[in-house]
This record gives sequence, C-alpha cells and structure tokens, in this order.
Amino acid sequence: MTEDDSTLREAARALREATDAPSPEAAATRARLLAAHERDRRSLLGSARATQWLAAAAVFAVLFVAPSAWALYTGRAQRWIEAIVGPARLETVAPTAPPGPPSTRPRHTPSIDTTTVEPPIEPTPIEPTPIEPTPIEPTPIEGLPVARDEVEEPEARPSVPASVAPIDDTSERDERLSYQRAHALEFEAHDHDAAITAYDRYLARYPRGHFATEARYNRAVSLAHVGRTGEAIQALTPFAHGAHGGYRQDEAAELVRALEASERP
Amino acid sequence: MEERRLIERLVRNETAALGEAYDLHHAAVRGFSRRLLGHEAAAEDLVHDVFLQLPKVIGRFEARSSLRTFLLSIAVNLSRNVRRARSRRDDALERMHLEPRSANETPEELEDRRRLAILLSRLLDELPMEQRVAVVLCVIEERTSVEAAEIAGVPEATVRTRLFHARRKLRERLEQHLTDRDEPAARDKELGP
Repeated sequence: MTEDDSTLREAARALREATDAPSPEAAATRARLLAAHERDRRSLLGSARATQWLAAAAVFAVLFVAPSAWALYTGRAQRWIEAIVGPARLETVAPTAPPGPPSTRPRHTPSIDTTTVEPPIEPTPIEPTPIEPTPIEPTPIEGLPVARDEVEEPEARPSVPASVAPIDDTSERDERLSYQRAHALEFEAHDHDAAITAYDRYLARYPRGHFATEARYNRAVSLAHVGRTGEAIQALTPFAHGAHGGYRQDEAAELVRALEASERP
Repeated sequence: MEERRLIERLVRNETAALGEAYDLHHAAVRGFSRRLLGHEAAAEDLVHDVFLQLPKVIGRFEARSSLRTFLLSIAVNLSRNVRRARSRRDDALERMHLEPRSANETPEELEDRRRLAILLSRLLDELPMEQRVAVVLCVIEERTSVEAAEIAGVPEATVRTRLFHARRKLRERLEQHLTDRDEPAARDKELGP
C-alpha cells in the first residue's frame, strides 16, 4: 500500500462519512414521490380506460356500423326490412319519411320498389323556420380549450319547450368539459396551481357533479404538489377515513401519513 | 421473503409498497447520489426520480440481486441525464457535517478530514461519469467489482479497467493538491516569524 493509496482511502472514508448523514429533505421527498406516483397511476388508469373505450368503439364499428352501412348502401337492408315487416308496412311508412337532401351519389341497386311508393302530387309547403341569432362563442386562445363555464347557460336559450329541451345533454357536456379542463391542466400541462383553480371552479358549479369525488381527490393531490401541505392533508383526510365510499382510501391514507411526516420538524 | 412480497406489491403498482421501498432504501440511494453528484438538491431530485421510476421498471427485476442493487442501477442510469459540471457542486460541500471519530480527535484533525472529503468530491468532478461511478461504488462505498459491475450494468473487467484509470488520475491530482498546499506552509516555516 503506497502513501497515495492511503491518502485516497482516507479521503474516501471522509467523503463516505460526510455523505451518509441523514437528509432533512427525506420526508418531504417521500411525500413528493408518493404524490407524483399517485398522479402517474391515475394517468395510467385513465389511458387504460380510454384505450378500452376505443377498443369497444372499434369492435362496435366492425360488428355493427360497417355491415349496416354496407347493407344500406347496397339496398340489402331494405330487402331485409321488407322480409321482416312486409311490403305493406313499408307502403305506409315510406311517404311519411322526412324528405332528405337530394343525393348526388348514383345508387347502384334500385332497392325500393317505386311502384309501391306514390310520389306526393303537391309537396306540402314547408314553413320557413325563423333563424334565431346564435350567440358567438369566444374564440379559443392559443389552442386552449374554451372555458365552457363562461358560455351562456342552457336555460337562457329561449323558444325551446321544457319538455323537449336537451337540458341534460348540454349541462352534462358543460360539466364534463369543465372537469376535463381541470384534468388536462393537472395531467397534461402539469400546471398544478391552474388545476387547483379549475377544480375549485368545477366544484363551485357542480358540488354534486358526476366527477365531484375525483375532482376533490385530484385537487388534494395537486395541493400536495404545490407544497400547500396543510390544505392537502385537510382535503385528503376524508378520503383516508373512507368518507367517499372507500374511493382512493389506501392511497389517501398513505399520502396523509407522508405529508404529515414532511411537516414534522 | 419479505423483499419478494414487496416486489410483488410494487409490480401491482401499490403506492404503499413504494412508500415501504423508500423507507428501506432511501438512505443508501441518497448517499450514492450525493457522492456521485456532489450536489444536495440534485441528489435529492435523483432519489425522487429513482423511486418514481421503480414501479415502471420493476417488471425487469430478475431477483438475481437485491432490490437495493437494482435501485442503485436505476440511479446510475438516471444520473447520465444529470448535467455534469463543476458549478453544480455547491457550498453544501463546505457545510459537510463530520462527527469526530474518537474523543481524542482534535478540531484540527476534524477540519483536515473535512477538507480531504471536499477535495475528493471536487476531484470526482474531473472524471468521466463511468469512472466516477466505479470510484464511488468500489473506493468510497467499498463494494466488490462484481457488485459494481451489476449496478453499472457492465462486465466486471470493464469496472476494473475504469477503476484502474480513475485511481491513477485521482492519485496524481491528490498528490498535486497536497504538494501545493504544503509548499506555502513549508516556506512559512523556513522563513520563520
């Protein structure tokens, strides 16, 4: 063993001892890690769910839509319907069918027996429907999704009878868009401050919405990300206690423990 | 047996399992990261990234080595992306904390030891990353070349070669630094008060 080797060994030992000291950041890193893992996990679950939906849609398209379109196009569908319900029924149905736009595409197979369908002698005049002015939606800036929360409320639209108004569709769509916006800010833009604001807006508007539980949980995790530890613990505690029917209970409990440990001096 | 169960839970992507793995191994990963990077904040980020990566790559773990060895190999891979520059070594090194080895150790001896640790840490910066990994694993952490090869993901002979070249450079640089330091002190002694 040379003198130089002993110096190197001595230096190595000194460096080992110096870098073995416990870190005051260890607990905070643990909390940060678990919050990030939780975010990744949910993101993964989300994409898996999206993939399942896409696969289901593809299967549906292959099994139903494509053959139906082919049958309609070739006129076989008409024959099948005739075979099932009989031509008499068709005779009564056909004239009342709403007039469609004139097709420019030539039909390859004359599927409907024209002798059975009498063309109307005088076309019924169609009352022109007054066109109501449509409110112009704000143009999205820099590719950002339009904040549907700021768009006109569906009930403000006049002249649609309540019994037939598509209230559910519109409000559900608005709610979904509002949640999706917050979700995208968290999981795609990784802008947790903006995500918290967006979740707050969603929850203020839809406190019992379809995604209220997820929004509350995601908001809590985002709070942990931006270092608002006290608020994150407060928001996660009900989940950890099973107040939301066991939703994310284990993960929330783990996060609360980690966050509490990071708060200790 | 316990480790196998933990690994199974990590494969299932359980958050609690990740917390347990962190509790068991964070100190070893942090120590290695600090030695390798010489920067407290960068080392903390590396520890975070290593454990965050763990559930994603645990499927490749073949249980031939320990989970700790596997974690260190993740650290080696990820550290290649960390910007390597002398400036990244910050004054955290200057604040290094060393405990006296014995009651007889004087404050001067303690200070000498601290300076030696800082000097080695800075000299490590001058080495290529592969050689630095070999030195940290074999010289500072005193692992065998077999274990170091497993962590670095290279043949054992490669580790030995890297170590040979790194040791030679470090010896030269240490000698040079110690000579530079001693010369003014010797001159002062010769000149007298």
